[in-house]
Order: sequence, then C-alpha cells, then structure tokens
Amino acid sequence: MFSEITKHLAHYFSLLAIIGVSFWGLITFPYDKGMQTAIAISLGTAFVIWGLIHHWIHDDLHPKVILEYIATATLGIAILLIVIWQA
Amino acid sequence: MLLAAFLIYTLLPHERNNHRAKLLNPIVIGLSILMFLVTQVLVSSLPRFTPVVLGYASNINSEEIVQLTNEEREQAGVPEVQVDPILTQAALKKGGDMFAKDYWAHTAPDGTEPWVFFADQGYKYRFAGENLARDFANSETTVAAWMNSRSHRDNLLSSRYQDIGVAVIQGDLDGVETTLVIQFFGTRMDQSPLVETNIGAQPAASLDFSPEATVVGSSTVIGASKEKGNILLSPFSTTRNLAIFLVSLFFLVITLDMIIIRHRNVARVSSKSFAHFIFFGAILAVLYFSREGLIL
Repeated sequence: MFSEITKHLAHYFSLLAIIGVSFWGLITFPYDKGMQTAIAISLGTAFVIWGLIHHWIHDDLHPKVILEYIATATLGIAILLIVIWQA
Repeated sequence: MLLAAFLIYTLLPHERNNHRAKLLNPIVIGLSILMFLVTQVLVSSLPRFTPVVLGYASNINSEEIVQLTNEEREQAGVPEVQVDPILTQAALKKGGDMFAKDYWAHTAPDGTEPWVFFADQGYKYRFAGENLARDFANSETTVAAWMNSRSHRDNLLSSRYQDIGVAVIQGDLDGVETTLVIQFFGTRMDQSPLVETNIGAQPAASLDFSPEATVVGSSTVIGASKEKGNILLSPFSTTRNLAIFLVSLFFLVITLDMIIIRHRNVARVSSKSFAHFIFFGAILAVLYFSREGLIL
C-alpha cells in the first residue's frame, strides 16, 4: 500500500489538496449553508473524478470501481448535507 | 458463532466476500444512506409516540448578549450601544410574532417587516437594524456566529446605532422547542436625521419613511411551551451523533481493509482504500467541528 502511495505521490497530493480545501471551506463558512452545500457537493464530485482519473491512468478502471467511488461520495455528501441543514 | 461469521463477512475482507468487506459494497452503502434518512424521519416523529420534545437546550441571557456586543464594539473602536426599553419591547413583540405565526425570517409571512415593531412601540428611528439567531447553546456562540457573518458583523459594529434591544424567547417553532434571539439596533430620529434600515443578512437599505432601523433589545422570556418532565432531544445533536457513528464505522472498516489486504498481499479489482480513508477522515473532522445554531 505504501509503495503504491509513494509511487503515485502526485495523485494523492492532489486528492489531499481537494479534501483540504473543502475542509477549510466547510469550517470557514459555518453559517453560510448555501456555500457549505456547494462545497460538500463539489467535494463529492471531485472525489469521484479523482478516482476515475486515477484508475484510468492505472488502466484498471472497472464499472465496479466507479460504483464504489460514487457510493462513497454519495454517502459523504448525504451526511454532510443532512448535518448542514439540521444545524 | 453465526454473529461472528456475519460480522467478519460484513466488516472484514475475506475469501467469502471476495476480499472486500460487504459494508463497502455500493448497494450496502446505498442502504446505509437510506437507513440514515429513515432514522432522521423517525427522530422527527418521535415526540408523537414518547414524552420527548425536540428542541435545543440553551443558556442565553439578553444582558450577556448586550455585554458581548459592546465588547465587540469596543474592540472595533465603535461607541457602545445603550439598552433601550422600548427597543427591547419591540424585540419581544417581534419574537412573539415569530412564534405566533410560526416563521423564521426577517419579514413575517403576512409581509410585516421588522421596522413595524419599532414603530408600533413608538420608537421613531433614523437608523434601524435586526440580527436574528436560534438554536444556540449560549450567548458567546450566538455573538460569535454573528461576528463570523459579514452582514451581521456590519450590523453589530455599525457606528450608526446608539440603542440596542435584545429579546431571548423560548417557544415552539415548527414543532421544535427552540430559543430565539432577536437583536434590534436603532438610533432615534431626534438623534440624527435620515432613515435607514439594515437586516442582518442583507445590506443596509434606505426606506421611504423617515427613521433608520437596525434591531437590538434586551429581555429574556422563557416560554411556557416546554412542559416540565419532558426529555429534550436536540435534533442537531442526534443527527450529528448518528452521522459520526456511521462515518466512524466506515472509517474503521476501511482502515482494517487497508491493513488486512496489505498483510495478505491480496490482488483485487477495487477502488483505492487509502482514498476512501482520507475522504471519510475529512468527513469525520467536519462533523467534529460542526456546531448547532442558525442566524438570519
């Protein structure tokens, strides 16, 4: 696993950047629900796109893999949106 | 034995689940989302079946709101605002109107604007402004939330205001026991010559009729709607705790997946566990920092 990460350091740096910026945005605008909603949806979408590109470059992009990224992103977005709008 | 086999099948990568915990299967994730949504519906309908009241426990004091507001103004180099009893009454009337008509907005469903409450109490304003808050735990987080919002901060720190009236009122809003904070700011007509109004989330606007209004006042009213003995269940805390539990479970399973697959050196077609690990970790961090409370 670690060799895989170090081998594709640039990929994981970009993922960390996407998630880091999203995290910063969600914490910085705690009372702007519109902004938080946009950030949460963007985060999920960017996560799926990252997965697609990463596996496409790896040449192992499989429908099952795509579904896994979409399911995880949907779960994350759903939880964030429910908590944001419940606050 | 059966339970252990089920837990292994659900939570750990194994030959029987094709080396991928069943919980990470897209269909199971979809079911988890559905169950989370159903739980939300159940929580909101819980008061129908048990002596539970959905609501927010709060310890907000109008005097503290005024004090914290003046501390912020002092730090910003702006003159303090003085508590005006008429403005306080106006704020109380506004809060009572929100509960009576069951709305959470600057303008009532029938079109009544905040400034009407100023005028009704006989406060002729040159400048007027209103900040609203609900569901906060205490005075500090309420004022901090306003200070974190540019439009509310502008209202709170405006040098145009000389008076303040704050009402802290508890009641039932849309089926949820909550505490409303109505902050009216104002400057009387005889103190300066032009009328402007400013609502927290909106830029200041000039009105056709003379005084300027911003809402602030000071008074605390505990509503009679909360019956003693009932359990107060915070919708936000319940949702947040459920969300933390669910995301923690996925975070744990994905962590175990990474460790076990690396240990067994299994080759499989699947998404990258480390990416999911980072994703769920970020969601957990956001949930940890999330706080209840709304401002308007």
